[in-house]
Amino acid sequence: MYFRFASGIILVVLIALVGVGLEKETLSLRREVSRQHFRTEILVENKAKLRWECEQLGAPQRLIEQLPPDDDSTENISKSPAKTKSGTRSKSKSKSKKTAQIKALPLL
Amino acid sequence: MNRTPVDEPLTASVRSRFLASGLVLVWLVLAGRLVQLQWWEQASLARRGEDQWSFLDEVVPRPGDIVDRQGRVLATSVRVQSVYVIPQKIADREAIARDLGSALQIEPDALLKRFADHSDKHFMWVKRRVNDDEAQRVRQLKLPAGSWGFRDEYLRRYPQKSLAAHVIGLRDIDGIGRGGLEESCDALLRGQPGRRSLIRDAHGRVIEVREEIEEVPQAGRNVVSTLDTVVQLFAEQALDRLMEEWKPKSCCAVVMDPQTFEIWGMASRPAFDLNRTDQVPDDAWNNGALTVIYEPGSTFKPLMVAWGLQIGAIRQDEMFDCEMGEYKMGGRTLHDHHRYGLLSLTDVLVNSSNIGMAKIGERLTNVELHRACAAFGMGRPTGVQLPGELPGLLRPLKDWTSYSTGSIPMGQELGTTPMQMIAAHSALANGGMLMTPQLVKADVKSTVRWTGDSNESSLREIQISSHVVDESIARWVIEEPMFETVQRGTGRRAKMSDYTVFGKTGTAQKFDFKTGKYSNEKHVSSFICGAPVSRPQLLVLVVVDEPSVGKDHYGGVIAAPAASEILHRSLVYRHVPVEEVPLRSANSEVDLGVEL
Repeated sequence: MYFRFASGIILVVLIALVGVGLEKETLSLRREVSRQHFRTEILVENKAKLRWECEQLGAPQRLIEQLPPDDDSTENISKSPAKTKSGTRSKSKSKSKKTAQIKALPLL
Repeated sequence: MNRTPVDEPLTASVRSRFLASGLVLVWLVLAGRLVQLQWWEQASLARRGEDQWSFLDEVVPRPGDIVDRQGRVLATSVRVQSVYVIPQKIADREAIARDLGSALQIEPDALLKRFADHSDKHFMWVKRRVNDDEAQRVRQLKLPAGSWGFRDEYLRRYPQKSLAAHVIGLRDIDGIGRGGLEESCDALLRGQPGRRSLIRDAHGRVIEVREEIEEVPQAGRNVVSTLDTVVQLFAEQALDRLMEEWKPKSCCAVVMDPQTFEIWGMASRPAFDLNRTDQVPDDAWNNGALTVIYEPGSTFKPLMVAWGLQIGAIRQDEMFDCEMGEYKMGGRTLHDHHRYGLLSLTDVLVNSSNIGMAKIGERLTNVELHRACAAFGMGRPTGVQLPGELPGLLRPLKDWTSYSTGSIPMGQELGTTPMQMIAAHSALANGGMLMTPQLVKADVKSTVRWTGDSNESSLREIQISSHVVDESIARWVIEEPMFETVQRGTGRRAKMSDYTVFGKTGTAQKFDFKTGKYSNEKHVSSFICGAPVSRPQLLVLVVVDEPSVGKDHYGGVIAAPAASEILHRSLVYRHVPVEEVPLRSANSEVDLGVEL
């Protein structure tokens, strides 16, 4: 009878210990998940800061604000004929400028 | 009275029974209470107990970014710290006010006064969103524990600075969207806050932050705008030059793809830097494209001509007698800027003849004119995803008079917003379908970059579209009168050597409420143009309010060059193939010097 009682107690204690062990394991896993969340948060934060700086540096405003507008490409027919002739001459220049711009823009 | 011996044991027995019953009753009451506490009230009491030693702290979610159609960031958030104190627990207010004041560059006296005013409070912000140096200085002060702390908050940053400021909007100090996409997409951008459990002692001091998060915060979704930063920049640069040259009160520009009604650019002047909102002039907050109501003037004429053709009131090959520049209509006399005789329907628009349009108005009658206005979306907001859009001004038909018959076809007696005008013209440019302008392309998870797959987006907005005029009529208006207007009419300054452009100028006198008449000094100059004529890819509208330099106030002089510049740069940027442009059109014998 004592043996049965002792084995009963041992069984209960063992089950309780296993339960406690499982709970501790669950808790540590949950903590690990939380830590991963915090680490992700830090990485996301770093990414956000770097991206912000990167976007500032690569902002079209900063990169192409110095380019002159391609006024020459629009015809101003109110100009005098002499001016129109010079306008024809400048067309090739404007085209080369335009080509340069087309090449530059996809990089933005 | 003497007790009998028989009575005595009886009394003792009754007493003992009473005592036993009493004890049993007490035990029963205690057991009942125990059952009540452990059984019925167990959950609530456990909660009360837990509340005393633990509490939940809100974890702020990261707001989503706003990006343009190419993925360039227009608005993003970085985490910063804010300093708070618990005024109740500050022992030496003067010393703390002095130390914090010097570390955070706040006037110590003002801080001390705030401490005094909030002395019974549990929480008070000292300074929100401090920079790293300030945070470090505060840490070095080593203030008494439990009386102060840092809280994480998100600071909104705008890498493109003032670019598209009116469209993007702001997030206020509490992270709530105010104006622009920040407000209209606030529910998507804001995200869901999470919760974290903290343990405190009997004095209420936090003694442990539990590592496991009760509820993980859900970051806000990224919003993909239809804007293109480069096209937006072209618009902003053109407006800057326009402001410098003509010094108007304000001006705005809208760039739209007429096939999809997607807005590629929307700029307004005066503007402001989104990162420096403490220095914004009052008049700079308005988004002119949505909040400026103006009489559209001649830019309205193609819409009325299209409607006249649609209902069969006029014909494309018809000639109109423009009465050599003077026409008596009811109680008033109308004038043209030049003396025109017989003009074709195309030339009525090319020369922007008021008399020709008034005669078209007489054919249409007020009922049809009102129907036309409503069909092209006047008098109601376009429905673009931005807050504060005004509906314009379209009076009820019963309030219209015989004056209206002449005024409405000329674009007077009604108020429109630039957004309504570009939407109406886009309907002509795409073959007669009026749709809801689009500013939001998609929303995606904050961790992914949008690839154009609509399945990634949760947005399922229905774009309402309505058929306004037949495709053949819309095409004719674009290919004939509006193309000729740029070739040889009032919009010549928008002509390009490499693209076929169509357009219409507009110059409207402003109504002077002091005199009760139209002012001869104040004008709204506008120009709307698009290209290529064969299949319009982009449409640009520029509206200039009260240009003040020189005597010129014509849309063809002031707004056309800016609109043309924006359009040309945008077409090149979009790699729209260059076209063969006819040097002179078939009807170009008459080259008039008008630039209305």
